[in-house]
Amino acid sequence: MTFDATSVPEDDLDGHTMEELGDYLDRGRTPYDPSIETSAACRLALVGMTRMQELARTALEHESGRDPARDDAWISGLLDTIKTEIRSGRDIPVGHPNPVLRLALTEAAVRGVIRRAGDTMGGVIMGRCVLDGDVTTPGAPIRIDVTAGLEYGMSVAETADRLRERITRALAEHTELVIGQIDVTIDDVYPGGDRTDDR
Amino acid sequence: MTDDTELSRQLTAAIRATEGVSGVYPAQPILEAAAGAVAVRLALRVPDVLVDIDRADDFTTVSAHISTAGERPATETLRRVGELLLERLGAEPSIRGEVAVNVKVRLVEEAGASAVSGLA
Repeated sequence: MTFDATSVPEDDLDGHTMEELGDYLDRGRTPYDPSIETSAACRLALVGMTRMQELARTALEHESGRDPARDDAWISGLLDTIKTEIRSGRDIPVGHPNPVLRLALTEAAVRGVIRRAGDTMGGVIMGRCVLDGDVTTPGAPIRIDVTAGLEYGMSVAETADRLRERITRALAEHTELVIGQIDVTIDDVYPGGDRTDDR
Repeated sequence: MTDDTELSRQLTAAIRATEGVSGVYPAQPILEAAAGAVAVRLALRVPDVLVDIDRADDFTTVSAHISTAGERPATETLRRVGELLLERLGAEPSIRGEVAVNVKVRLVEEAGASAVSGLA
């Protein structure tokens, strides 16, 4: 039996590749593939890729004045970020009075919460998201470092403040992390469009 | 050696039925999980045995990986699943000695996403 090197699964995607997931998404997630739908990593990647498809569609609606090469680089950068962030990462503990129970969220799950807080806000497209600090020690303050693209015409300061508020609220709802600081870097500006704000 | 397939199946089903849980994922060690994923892909195995049960001497470690529905705090769902597993294991005659239960949230789903996945 020969072993084809190209068939070696990507270890972070439970045997699948980003290309396969892209094709699966293009087919409307049909026929149902249990090996994808029962993989947390694949599902995380699909969430990110779905969001990216929506963003790409919006960009096409505002085609004029856009540089295709720049768009390709932007999409490729977002794909890389999605791929990086699906790695489970560290375990972020959740307390319980019974020491027999060890409860945790993965770092990837928490990054997903942060990303959604930004991407559903309107006016920003989330880029990189880093949890800086000892997330494995309960109560230790950590720093959140995010980058985002800003819709043209929006106020940088107001949008960054609103993003911080949403991230703080989302993390307080789903985690026990102590947030010392949230740094927001606006690293891109994109053309405005019809927004579906969720303020 | 005890075959824990049926117990794992029961625990998987119980977790799936827990409020706030939108999916259950394989919690087996990586090589075992990879073999399982291949089996699922080849339609050799239904993904309903996803809770890992590891017995060593008189110590049993039970591990579960889940996704939670975004409408509810993930911490709340996590605690609920942990307590459910402890309760079930307490009532399981084949479990003797000490027990450790690990539950991990791999994904917090967007509201309504679990209906799409068909995992819940």
